[in-house]
Amino acid sequence: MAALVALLQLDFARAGRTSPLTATVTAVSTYLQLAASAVVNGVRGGFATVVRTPGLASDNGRLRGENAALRAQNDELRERLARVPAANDLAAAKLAHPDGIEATVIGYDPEASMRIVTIDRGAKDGVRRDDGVVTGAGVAGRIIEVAPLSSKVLLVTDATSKLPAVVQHGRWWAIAVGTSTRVKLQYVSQDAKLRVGDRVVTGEGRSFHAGVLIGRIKQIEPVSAGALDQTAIVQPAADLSALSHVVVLSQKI
Amino acid sequence: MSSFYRRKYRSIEITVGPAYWPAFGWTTLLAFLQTVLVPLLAFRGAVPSLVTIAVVLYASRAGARRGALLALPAGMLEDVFAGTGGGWTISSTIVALLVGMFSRRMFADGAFVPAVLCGLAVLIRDLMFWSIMRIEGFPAGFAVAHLHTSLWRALLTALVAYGWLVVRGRLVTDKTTIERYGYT
Repeated sequence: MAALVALLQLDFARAGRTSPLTATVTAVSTYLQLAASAVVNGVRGGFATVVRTPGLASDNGRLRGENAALRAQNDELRERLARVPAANDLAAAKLAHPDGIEATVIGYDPEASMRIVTIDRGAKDGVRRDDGVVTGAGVAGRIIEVAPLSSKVLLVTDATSKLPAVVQHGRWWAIAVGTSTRVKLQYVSQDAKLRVGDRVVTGEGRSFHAGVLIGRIKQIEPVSAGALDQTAIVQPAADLSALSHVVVLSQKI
Repeated sequence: MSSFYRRKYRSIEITVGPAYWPAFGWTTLLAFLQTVLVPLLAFRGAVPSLVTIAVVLYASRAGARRGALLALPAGMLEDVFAGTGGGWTISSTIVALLVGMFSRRMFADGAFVPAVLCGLAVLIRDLMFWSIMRIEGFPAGFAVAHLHTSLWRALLTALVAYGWLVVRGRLVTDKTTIERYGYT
């Protein structure tokens, strides 16, 4: 039997092929090798772990500390990133009105029934009634009440707010009245050729000098028969739903 | 003798419901939250009125007179924050009186009925507020112009009140109920 097997093996070897017996043995031995190496590697890893345990504990502590520091740094950077739009807005407003008084919004109308906000600047800072209030994007409103340390701003979207306005491209005069969410341009000349997207700026008035951006025309209302004027809806340039920083313009600036 | 005796007389009123000063403190805190935080969470331009919830829940349990005593300073605070000339003070006080009187005819326990009452109170309060503002010189029609927002406010207020009452019902044991049923 042994001689037969040996002859078969010799015959396959001469022919340059792998004999079935060799293939079977090789496959079985491969599985055995895999199992053995897994056991050996596991034992070696476990041994190494046991040997390195004191070092691992200190490494773990150091990495945890680094992780906590990175998390804190990440939180701080996220907060800075969140503040960028407001900071840019304020910087733009200060650039346009360098003598204006920076202020922070500290309160809102509690019932949100009127568009009024409270700012942290008052009479002591030189704020006076009817001073204009702007953001970097454009008009926010005007001061309606001044206390020593704070003031109340009537936003341009409040239904009681009225400002002289000019449609920039045709110099057509109008009155900008708040509608709670947007601004309505009233009493625009019937001859005015309004276009959606036209810039609307302030006219010379008590609170603002001419040319401060109020917003852009969003919708032109159809003219009724016999009407002597036309109206348009303006989307305010400033985001008045999320005011955080504003600049107060003294009437003498 | 009798006049001297009278001067020392103290009115004794048997009261039920929450104590006044803690309720006043919480309402003041809510009024601050209402002006600093809540408007930032506006939904469709409307915010829930936490002050109305506090006033209505207190008035429904403590009665009209004590409810009005809470509503008066709460409304004044709101007027100060909003820069309005007494509209919230008057409307809040009247709402507290109405709720206090109405609460005699209903059970203030549970969550659904008081929550609905809070929502209705917002509508009545807004209507009175704009009426008062009209008297103060505002243009007519503001109540109608703000009706859509008021409806949203009423709904939000009722939802917040309902949520609060459900949570409170699970967390807080009503001492009055224990005494009433003689549990120890």
